[in-house]
Amino acid sequence: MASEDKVRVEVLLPKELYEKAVERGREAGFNSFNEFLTFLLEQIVEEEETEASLSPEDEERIKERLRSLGYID
Amino acid sequence: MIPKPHGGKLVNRVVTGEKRDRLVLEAEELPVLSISYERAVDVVDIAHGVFSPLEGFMVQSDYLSVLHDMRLSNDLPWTIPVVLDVDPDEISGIKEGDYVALKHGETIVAVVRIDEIYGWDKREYAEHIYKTLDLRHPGVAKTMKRKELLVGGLVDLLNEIEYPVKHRVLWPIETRVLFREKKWERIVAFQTRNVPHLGHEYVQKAALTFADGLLIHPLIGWKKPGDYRDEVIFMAYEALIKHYYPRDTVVLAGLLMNMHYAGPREAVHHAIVRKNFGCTHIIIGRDHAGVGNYYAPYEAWTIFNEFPDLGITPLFIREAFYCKKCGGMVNEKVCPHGEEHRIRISGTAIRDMLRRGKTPPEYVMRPEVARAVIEAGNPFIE
Ligand SMILES: [Zn+2]
Repeated sequence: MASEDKVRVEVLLPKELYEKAVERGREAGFNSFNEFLTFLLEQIVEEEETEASLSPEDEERIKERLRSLGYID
Repeated sequence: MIPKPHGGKLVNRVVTGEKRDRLVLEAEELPVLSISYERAVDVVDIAHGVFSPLEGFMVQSDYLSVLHDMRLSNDLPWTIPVVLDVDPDEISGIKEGDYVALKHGETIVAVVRIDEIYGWDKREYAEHIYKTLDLRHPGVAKTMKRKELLVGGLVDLLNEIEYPVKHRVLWPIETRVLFREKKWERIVAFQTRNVPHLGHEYVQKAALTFADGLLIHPLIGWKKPGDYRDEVIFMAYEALIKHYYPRDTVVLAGLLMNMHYAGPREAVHHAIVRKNFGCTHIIIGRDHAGVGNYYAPYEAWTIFNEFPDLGITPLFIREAFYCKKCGGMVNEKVCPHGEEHRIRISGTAIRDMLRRGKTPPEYVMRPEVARAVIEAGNPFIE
């Protein structure tokens, strides 16, 4: 994970919000605002990569097993 | 929203098709390491993504980081080492970079690429993971019997192993597809190794009140004498779900995974694993995965303060009891009455009654559940 490509970006934030966020991140145990912001963005932006890698055949095979075991109709 | 797997990507090290055919042939020529049933279970869990992002047994940097900091070397939360122990004898002549076959019984379960061979201090392991060196702790006893060296390396699963209630065990990719099909977004996991009494039902339903679905997830695998047999746990839950849960709110599936009795650390481990299965929440008991008096009360709850970046939310629901004044199942948070009005449910007492073929009182266990257990014949491991 350490080898991931990173970019430097400039963002404009309301001062008060930024200060609150820094404080909140620190309280939650994050080492930096950068780390806190990355975590938050991951939660919201990145989703469901997993199943993107599932081929239609694999998906059908999984559903077939789920059907045969009575988990789906 | 179904959470991403831990570390972002669901691991799949199950080899199929032509690649498997080729590896099976190659494996016959490789040096062989015999592994215990428990290590074979680890291999299968790694391969099916239960331990995502782990793709193999831990190398030393990850092992030490988990031991001391409860995180992988890339800073991702991880609390229980997943390590393969070997005898110096059986590994002599094998060097880093070599491939070896992992054999359980007569079956070659997997091929592992040896990335690192290193020593470990089993006492240090026990002190960090179990918080004791007492050999009466089942985890400590097992650790001390393990072999002297560890090997880390990538795993390729060639053959599945045998285990009970195979037809009820689902892997993470399967529950993820299942939850998506059901259009569930808030999914609460419930870890168990018991047949359900009313206390369990109360806790599950408290969580279900705000969730879309519940994953009742009994741990399958090695059990000690006196534990309920896996089949019986399933029969008991099937009876409970059929009579007392709304349609389409529960998935009952087995999880093949080793039990460590590592208390707080194992509570976090259980949470991470359930995140991989696609759950958003997990119910954590006050003494989750505990044994004896090795862990402080509520330690299994407070440990979660150290993991703001876990990616699954623990639900700390208090143990339920029957209160005669309230006239139902309650917990300390919602019942103001004294201990004299409360009837606490004892797992041991229930076990004794069921062993004698007696049905526990209705405020302790649903009659349909008791009947399912009693009719199973020998409900306990001998
Ligand atoms: Zn009360």
